[in-house]
Amino acid sequence: MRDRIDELGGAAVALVTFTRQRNLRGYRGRHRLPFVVLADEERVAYRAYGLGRGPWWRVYGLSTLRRYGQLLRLGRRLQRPTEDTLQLGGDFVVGPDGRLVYVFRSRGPDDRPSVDDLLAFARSSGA
Amino acid sequence: MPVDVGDAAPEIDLPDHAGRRWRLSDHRGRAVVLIFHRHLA
Repeated sequence: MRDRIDELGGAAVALVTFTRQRNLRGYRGRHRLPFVVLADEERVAYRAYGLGRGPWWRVYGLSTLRRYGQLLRLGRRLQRPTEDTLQLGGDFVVGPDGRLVYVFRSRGPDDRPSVDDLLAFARSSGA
Repeated sequence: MPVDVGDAAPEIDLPDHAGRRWRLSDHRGRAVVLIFHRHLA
């Protein structure tokens, strides 16, 4: 999404995290994010959008372990988690009228929609 | 029942990376893409 922000056709993007707000400034700069990053420390928005925690066997399933293996081969160092790794994510597009036009609730770490899908819904909603 | 397509999007009122207040309702009139992260680590 970061690299295709120009394709949004005027839609806004907000990345919601449950990390502490004081951690966000460095994170946004390190990843050169061109959109706002929000701190939902109490996970109020996560609950409001129906995003709960996943079972450990799905979060740490084969695809996740495979991904960790890829990262290790690339020289990345795995770090001890400091946040709730079972919290699931999701992607939503809100239309100009304030109604949801796209809803995707992840069932696991690698379960995310394509950027193409998000862009298509954002543009078609009349951004 | 969790919200679904067609439902009113729940309001979001949270601090952003700079400590400013960000509200979903302030962006009425344009589409908004919300990406809920798993965790930052």
